Amino acid sequence: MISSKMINLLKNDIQVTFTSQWKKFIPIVIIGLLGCFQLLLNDRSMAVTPGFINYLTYFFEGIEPFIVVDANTIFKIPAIWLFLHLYIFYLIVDYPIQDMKMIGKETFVRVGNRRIWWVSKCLTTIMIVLISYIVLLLTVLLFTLFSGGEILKSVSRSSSDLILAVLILPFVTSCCVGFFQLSISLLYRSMLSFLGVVVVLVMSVYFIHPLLFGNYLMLLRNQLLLQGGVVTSEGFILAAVIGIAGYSIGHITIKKLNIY
Amino acid sequence: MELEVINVTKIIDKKTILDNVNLKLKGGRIYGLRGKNGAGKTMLFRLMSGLILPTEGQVLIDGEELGKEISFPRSIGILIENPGYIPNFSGFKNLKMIGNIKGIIGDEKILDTMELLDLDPYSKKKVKKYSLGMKQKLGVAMAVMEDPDLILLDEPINALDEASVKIVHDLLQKHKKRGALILVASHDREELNLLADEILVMENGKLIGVE
Repeated sequence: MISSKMINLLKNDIQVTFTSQWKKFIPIVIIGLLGCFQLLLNDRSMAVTPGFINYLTYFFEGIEPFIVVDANTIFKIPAIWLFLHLYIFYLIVDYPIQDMKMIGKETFVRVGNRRIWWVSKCLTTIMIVLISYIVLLLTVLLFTLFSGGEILKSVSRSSSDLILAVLILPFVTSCCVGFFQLSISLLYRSMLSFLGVVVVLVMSVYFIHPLLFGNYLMLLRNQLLLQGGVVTSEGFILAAVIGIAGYSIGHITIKKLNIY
Repeated sequence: MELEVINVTKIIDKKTILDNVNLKLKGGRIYGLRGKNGAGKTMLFRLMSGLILPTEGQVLIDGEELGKEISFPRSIGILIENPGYIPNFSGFKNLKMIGNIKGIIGDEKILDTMELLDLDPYSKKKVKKYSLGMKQKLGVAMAVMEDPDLILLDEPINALDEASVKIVHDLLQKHKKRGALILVASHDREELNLLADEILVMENGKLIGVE
């Protein structure tokens, strides 16, 4: 009974996401196109047109560590990288809040168990991150096709490490930070949890530190490309700690939460 | 169906919203809840529905304590404050989504309930384009369509014309006959006199009398 209600809730979330909330994924397409154009224009001087992997990597490479050389050193923010991740974090926190405003009360009393609602929202978080990544991948794939770039090279051992660092780690990190964001939204306000993410992401651009999760979202900070950079496996551990903490806080909070 | 509120106090931000409320209500009756704005009617409904938990005291639904043995009443329909909808869905689709959660009613029941409330179930019109009265009736439909044992309606005839008020009243009488416990909150004494078997009066978070 419990699991059937959870599945029904998830089905509802999927239905609402695809039929009512789909417009919210358009900015991902726009960010995707902007990033692809930026790389294409930057790499015009190169003999070879960028391929699918080049474009994709561009969204997750971030920026090299910030080092102050002299007084004229400028702190640069990797805009496309930041917008992409911030927008995904915004989507994560936006849907449950919208859901609460729309049919939240009616849903809660029918689910009959507060914790089922929480688990279903965590699953929805994973779904939103997954859809965001699929939308980005499709945008990049179509851009590559239209720009005449190479779609797929044979995947070597090092490439699979790269995929782990470029796609899987950011995906897992986004989901886990999303759980934490949601739990803070239940306790305080969604804006506060979102601002927290903004601060950590900007700090991650400024500082390279294994506890700032933004560093694991940047390939250029990974040990694969940077000596002394962050380690992929440690990124998974940090994501797991954040995810478990977020899930547990939400699990405890929802039990006593006043729903207005 | 029996609902019991025992010595319930609710304090939010150091403000006492409900003050030592005691109630015992039985199924097959319509209870009115009258009080001015801010008297605590909506908060009492939230408490009875399990959406908020008491600071002190207990709410028992058929002997089971809300927040301890059960999170929410096992069979409940609510219309509390502004009814919530997915604005881009039609009325029928909204009800179907809500109905899908429990999965105890089919399309037929939704169609019947909408027709009883004079709403066109086949209309493709999105809820965001509904009039206030239509939204209110859809909220009532949402609350009653699953034939719940407990129905809580907060100002259900807000924005309804005379004909629609009669439709809602007749519908509630039908649910009363099948044994549902119905609570209707309103600041309108006349409406409650017409509808309710018993009227509970609230003031400043306290239950001050029964009419």
